[in-house]
Formats: sequence, C-alpha cells, structure tokens
Amino acid sequence: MIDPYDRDKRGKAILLGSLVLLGFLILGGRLFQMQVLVWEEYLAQSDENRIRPERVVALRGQVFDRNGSVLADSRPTFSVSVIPYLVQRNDAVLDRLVALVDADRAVIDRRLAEGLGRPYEPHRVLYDIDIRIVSIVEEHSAELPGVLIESEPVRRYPQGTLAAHVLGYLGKISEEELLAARAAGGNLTPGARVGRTGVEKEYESYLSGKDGVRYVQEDARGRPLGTLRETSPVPGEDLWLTIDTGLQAFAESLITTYRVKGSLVEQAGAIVAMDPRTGDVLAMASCPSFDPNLFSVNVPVSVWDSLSQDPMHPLLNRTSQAAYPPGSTYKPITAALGIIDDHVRPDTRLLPCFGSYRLGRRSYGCWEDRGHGSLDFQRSMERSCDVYYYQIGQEMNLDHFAELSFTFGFGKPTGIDLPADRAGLVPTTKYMNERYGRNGWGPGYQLNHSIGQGEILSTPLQIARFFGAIGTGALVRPRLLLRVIDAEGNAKPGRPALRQEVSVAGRVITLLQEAVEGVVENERGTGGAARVPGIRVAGKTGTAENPHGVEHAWFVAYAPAENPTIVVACILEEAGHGGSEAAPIVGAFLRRFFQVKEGV
Amino acid sequence: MSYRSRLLGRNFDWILITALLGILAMAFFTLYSAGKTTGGEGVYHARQLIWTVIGLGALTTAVFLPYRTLDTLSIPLYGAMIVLLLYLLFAPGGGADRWIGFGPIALQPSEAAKIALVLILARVLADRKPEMSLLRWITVPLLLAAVPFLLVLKQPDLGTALVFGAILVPMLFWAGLPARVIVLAVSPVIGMLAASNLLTWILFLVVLFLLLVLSRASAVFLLLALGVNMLVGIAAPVLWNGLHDYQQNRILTFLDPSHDPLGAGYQIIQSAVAIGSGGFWGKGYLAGTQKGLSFLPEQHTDFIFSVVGEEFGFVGCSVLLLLYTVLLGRMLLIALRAQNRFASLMVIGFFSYLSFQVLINVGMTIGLVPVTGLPLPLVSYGGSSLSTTLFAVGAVLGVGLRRNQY
Repeated sequence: MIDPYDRDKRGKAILLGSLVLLGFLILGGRLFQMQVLVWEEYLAQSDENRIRPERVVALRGQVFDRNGSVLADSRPTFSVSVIPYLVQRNDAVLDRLVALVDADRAVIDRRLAEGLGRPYEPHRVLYDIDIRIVSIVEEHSAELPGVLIESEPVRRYPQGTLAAHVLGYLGKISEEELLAARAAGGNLTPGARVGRTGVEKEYESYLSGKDGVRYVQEDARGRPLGTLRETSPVPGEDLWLTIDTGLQAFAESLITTYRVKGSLVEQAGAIVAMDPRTGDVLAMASCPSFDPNLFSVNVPVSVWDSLSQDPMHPLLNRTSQAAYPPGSTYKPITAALGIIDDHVRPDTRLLPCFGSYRLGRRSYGCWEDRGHGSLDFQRSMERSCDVYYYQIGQEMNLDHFAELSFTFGFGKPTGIDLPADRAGLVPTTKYMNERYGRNGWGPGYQLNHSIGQGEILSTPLQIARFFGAIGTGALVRPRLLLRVIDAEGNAKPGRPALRQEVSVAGRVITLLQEAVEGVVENERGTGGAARVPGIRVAGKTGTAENPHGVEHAWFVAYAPAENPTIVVACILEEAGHGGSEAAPIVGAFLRRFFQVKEGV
Repeated sequence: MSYRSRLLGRNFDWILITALLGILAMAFFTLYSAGKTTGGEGVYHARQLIWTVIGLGALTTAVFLPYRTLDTLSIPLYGAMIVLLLYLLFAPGGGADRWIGFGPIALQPSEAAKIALVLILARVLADRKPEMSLLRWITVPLLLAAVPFLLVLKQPDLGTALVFGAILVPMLFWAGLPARVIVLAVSPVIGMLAASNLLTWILFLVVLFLLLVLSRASAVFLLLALGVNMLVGIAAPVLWNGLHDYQQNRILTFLDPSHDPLGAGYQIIQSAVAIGSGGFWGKGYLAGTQKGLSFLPEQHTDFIFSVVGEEFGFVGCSVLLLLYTVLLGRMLLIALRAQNRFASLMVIGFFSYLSFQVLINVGMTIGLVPVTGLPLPLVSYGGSSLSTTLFAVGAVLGVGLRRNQY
C-alpha cells in the first residue's frame, strides 16, 4: 500500500526537517561541550603536548661499477635547523646561537627568510657542521628554543670527478617540485635533495628509498620530549652500472689532456666505449668535467655560476647530450645506399678525384687537395675520398638516405638510460622544404650530406652504436644499469638489453665491414693509428667542418673485426684531422682494452 | 520594472541566497587561512575563487533550466555517470583512483553522480501510477540507486556510497513510502552499531519508539519493530565475541579513535584538539596553531571545519551551522510549496544530499562519526564538489521561482 503522494506533505516536511534539525542540535551540543565546557583541556593539549610527525630521511642507494667499485655513497652529516615561527618571536635566540657557534648572522638570516613560507617546519640554516658545534648546541638547548640539530646523510662520490657525467648530481628540491610530489602522495621534505642529471636523476625512484615517519612529542617551545613511534625508513636500492672504472679512468685520462700540434692543451672532447653485443656502456667520458661532490650540499652561487656559465660547458655530457656533424664517419651510410641502389659495386670506379668536384658553377673540395685519382669502392672508404661520395650523393634520393640513417639509429634518441638523450638530426625532403623553402635548396646540399656534413647532426653515442651495428649486423640500445640490489640484498635485473637486427641485406653489411676494416688495417688507410697488434680493428676517421674554427676530429672503431666485443667512438672538438688526432686515442684505448702493451 | 521581473524578484528566495553567500564567504576566508601552511600562500583560496565563479555560472544556468529539460536530461546524465564510474573501476591503474583527469583538471565523477541520481529518482518517482503494488513501485528506484552505490563502494568510497542511500530514502518517503516501512528497514543496521554501548542503545530504542509513534504506526507494527530491534541488540554482543581480534580492532578504531592514537585515530584526535582548543571565541583568524603546525590532516578539504573551529571558536561554528540550517530550511520550504511533483522530489533529493554531507562531515571532525572522506559542501576545497553543489542549489532556486507551475 502506498500513501497518496500529496497527502500530508506538510507532516512529512516537518518530520524530515526535525530529523535534520535534531542532527544539527547534536552537533551543536557536542561543539558546546568541546568548545565551552571542557575547552581548556583541549587547549592544554594543543599548547603543551604536541605530537609532530617528523620525517626520517631514507639512506640513498649506492652506485657501483660493474666490478663492485663504489662510485657513489653517502656520509652522515649534521645541520642546525630552526623552526621559523618560534625563533621569529624571540630574536635573542638567534643572537645566542651566533655567539655560541661563531656563525655569520647574515647567512642565517638569509636562509631563515627562505623558510618563512613554512613557519612551522624545521628549516636548515647551517649545513654540514662540525661535531664540536653539534655538542655545543645540544648542551645549550635550554637557551635555544626552536633550534634543533638534524642529522642527515649527504651524497658522496668517493672517486671525485670520475664518471661525473654518467652519475650526474643532486640538487635541492624546488618549491614547485615539492608541491607536485606532495600532491602525488610523496613524502619529501623541504630541502630534500633529488637527482638533477645522470643516473642520479634517471633512477631517482630506485635510489631515493622511502622516508620514514617519527612521531615526536614536543612541548610548546618546540623541544622534543620523546619519540612515540617510528616507522623506519626504507633505504634506497643499490645500482650496479655497466661502467668499468678502470676503463673509465683510462678514457678520461686520454681525452682530458691530449696533444694538439705537439703542445699540451686542455680541450673539449668525448669518448664512449660500448659492448656492441649487449649495449653495455663500459666507459663514457666527457671533457671538461666537474666534481659532483660540489652539489651534495648547498652549492655556493659563485661555484654554480662558474660551472653553468663556463663557455666550455663542463656540465654537458658530450657523448649523448651534444650533437655534432658526423663528417666522414657517416660515409658508410652513403656507401650502403650506393650499393643498395646499385649505383656502385665493389669494383666500380667513378670519376677520378683531382682534389675537387664540380657541380654546376660550384666546386666541392676533397679533404686531400692533391686528389686521390681513380679509386674503387674499397679504396674510396680507406682513403675517405670525398669526391667518390659526392658522386653517390648526387644520384641519391634524400628520403632513402634518411630512411637508411634511421635504420642505423640516427635522428632519434638512442634510448640510453640517461636524461636528455639527444636525437640529433637527419634531414628529409620535408625538413629541407620547411627549412629552406621548396626551391631554396639544390643538389649541392646533397653533396654535403653524402659526406656527413650539411644538416646532419649526431651524438658520439649514436656513432658508436652505428659502428656496432656494422660490426654485428644488429643495433643495440645502449644501457648503463646492469642490476639493482634492493634493501634486503636481492638482485633484480637492470635495464633489459635490447638488440635488433638491421634490416639491410647481409651482402651490404659484409661490404661495409670489409671497407671499414681496410681503413685501419690497410697500409694507406686513414685510420692506421688505431691498430692493435694481434687484433683486427675496423674503423673510420672523420673530420667535421666547424664554422667556428678548426675542424672536429672523429674516430670510431670496433674490434676484433671478425667478432666485435667493443666499439669506441671519440670526438675531439677543434682538434683537426680525425686520422691524426682522434685515431691514436681510440688506438690507445683499444690496446688497453685488449691488454696489449704500448710500444710493441 | 516590468510585472514579470517584479514577480521574479518576489518569488526569488533572497534568504536562501544570503545564507549561501554567507557560507561561501566563510569558506573563502577559511581556505585562505588553511593554505597559509600547506601550500605556500594563495593556492587553495585563489583556485577555489575561480571554481566559485564557475559554480555560480552553473547555479545561474540551473535556475533557468525548465523542469522538462532536467527531466529529460536525467536519463543520459545517469547513463553517463554509470559509464564513468565503470571506467574508474576498470581503467588501467586500478580502482583506487576516484579521479578522472581531463588535461589539467581532474574531476570526481562521484560528485556529479549524486546530481544524476537525484534527477533520475525524481523522474521515476514522479511518474507513479496509482494501481502499482508497493513492491513493483519500489523496485526500479532501488535498482537505480543500487548500481552507483555498489560501483562507488567498490572504489572503495563508503562515504559517497552512503550519500546515495541518504538521497534514496527521503525521496521514497516524500513520494509516499510509509515511514514505518522505512524505519523497519533501516533500524536494525543502526541498532547493531548502537548496541556497542548500553547508553547509546537505550537512546536508540527511545528515538525509534518516538519515530514509530510519530509515523502513526499501529500497535502491532510498533511492537514488532521494537521487538526485532531488541533481539538484534541482544544478539550483537554475542556476535561480537565471535569475531577475531583484528576484526574487533578495526571496528573499535572506527568507533573510538583514541583506540589507535597514531594510526587512523590521529586525524580525529588532532581535529578534536583543534576545535576544542578554539574555545568560545576562537584563537583568532590566521592564528590557529594546530592548523599552523600542520597537525591537521587534509585541512583544506575534509577537515576544513576544524580550521573554522580552531580560529573562530564556538561562535564561528554556530554561525556556519546556522547558515546551513537556514539554507536547508528554505530548501524544504520550496519543496513543500512546489506544485510540480518532479520538482518537489528533486528539491527533497538535493536537500537530503546536502543535509547528510554536512552532518557527516562536521560529525567526523568532532569525533561523532567515523572518518569517511566526505567533503563539507560549499566549504571544502574542491572544484567538482563545489560546482555540483552550486548547480543543485540553482535548480532548487529555479523551483522556487516557478512554484506555481504544474
């Protein structure tokens, strides 16, 4: 039975209204009881006994090289913190602190000002203080309400500048990052340090661990009365990298000071060595470098400015974050396209080289002014004759050229586990039309592209990967993370090794392999300086034109030629010819890798 | 002034509007204060101001929407809500997420689902044929409410699920379901909880008795209802002792937060300390120390009332609750006066939704009700909640304007 809808609407409204009103009266009654009758009890609780959830910073994971040598760990430090709203009320406290520990009042005031936005959370004003100061402050804690000692692990890179670009560095979390992290449920504290570049940034989630919470009971002056309960922090996980410290240190020594025209000059350059079968990066060095320890505590502004504004860009990882014209190291692409298009065969001799090539009214020079004469395919690679490649370039379709470049990993990030992995540039017809207009570019541009100049840009890591693909027939994804060890000591796999067969006919790959082996091993090859006694080495020189000055010297090689276990790429900025400058460095690295004594 | 606009002015519920604006103003100042510590200055109140403007736009739109449009809209709206809730449950990323992101904005579909449920129930209940049996009549609305109820419960969001129940029951009552049937259906659940303490149990039985008398239940029915509830009350302790320790613990913390002062109870204790320490006049605007020390959890959303209590004291709490009482009272009056059955039911639906959320949220901050995660309507920070609530208020105002329209 249903009551008629309209019957006694008034009664129903009264019933509903009274129920809600009853609810409000109960709320009001409870509020009256709490806020009027027994409010002093609550006030006492809020004034005298405060339970403050305090974060316990988790120990950041360590970083090891592939043999277990420590690249990054943490050391304990102490800092003096203040609770801004407490010390603000009582100016004498800071005066007393300054007098006790002999600190600079101006520095404390400046750091305190940064913390005023969160007046109730401890804010660090003195970092990395001496244990003597710790005991002074603790002794006088009664005179210093709102001042406390916090202990905090600080990142340490025991080997200094070694592998600095791979490891990266830490930086103080910004206000925006902090808000974003808290909104996402993270438990970061102001002043926390997070990875800014390198592995520290890439694997922040492994390394950072999970902070714990300690419920500290405090009195009204901010003095801790005791810890009620603590959930322990979960330490970060340890990383084992593919880097080999010995090879890394040797690679750095090779490029940090090398001889240019006989004199010892500091120059910019980079070298990267990788296992072409797995993509394991064994050494990755960039010069000039920096000491990541500088960033583990607050960096003085002057130090940061001198590093970030240095015209030599020491913070830049030149192996993966800098793109250069690849020059003649790119010639195998042009060569492969010539063979695929059946424009050249192994025995094809194109027009002979007399030191330059004419196209229309312009003349395009070969690096060898005297000319190479008539060459076949193999000799053209060994001598790196530009004129031979101009002739292939003149006939080639730019988009086929770009397609083949993409196949060998150019024009896109390598996928290495580092931030800011640059893509470089591979020009396509579409790109050229957008950049220069539909009629703004002609066959002359093709000639430049055929010798790795013009628009083409690539990183040393891309070049290394490219030669790895020539040597093995497969393109790998470079990787740095070998494995992860969690807090309980269990090993987890690192970054999976990815390897993909190159979609180019085996016959073409074989011809390229023979050609680049000749570059090093044949008597008149340009890369003879990279020879290793007893090991067959294949490689290619490059001398990249530099509009700002002297050419960049390139050399890239893999070995042993018949079954490569290593590929090395090296660039020396503004050093001159690849064959005379870069090839000896790669040669020295290879001889060290294969443990062949120098000077044999 | 034309006759038409004068009529509009006379029928417009200025008292309701005043109460509404009063609440919004208190919300703004409280949010500014709450933001003083957690988010750096000016994040929450400024964003909420934008949402208020958007919400007032929704309110104005709702005022001028004809009943027929709302009536017609109810079906696609309800369908869309079910789809969104299903999406939330089965979307990649698991069911713990109550939000759907649209670019920079994240929306909570369960908020809009409340509106959709009110509209569809109003439509179904208004369209009643006299010859229907009680069972047939009640089946469709029960199913319509059960679907979102179960979907939201699965999220899991018990609070919002209960809101659906709190919308359904009064609307059924308004549409003609006898009170005694409702009392009988709901009472054993409440009785079970009340039986944990002798005092609350006796109080419960007294309230039940009064309700049954008020609803003019027959003597037989009255005795039956009381008897069943006595039995439940006696059986409860027996069942309780049959539970495992950890199960008992969970329920105890639910009922008494000081049982676990550092876990779930931490929020309620800190909130109660904040409100209680506010005293009669409060600690003063922007001067709340509990708030300032970040002791208050979720102090700009679910626990915003604690900030009101700490800084404005008993006076401030009373003013806010009084404003809500006026707002809700006027809504009830509009429902009573409306001639159109759909409109009247819709207003009752919105009335119930708002009443329930206010009671539960405030009750939670002062430790009367377990923590459920329901926002305080019109005050808690959150765009979805604010704009849907303002839309509902707008629809109610619209009914008030056209109360003589059938």
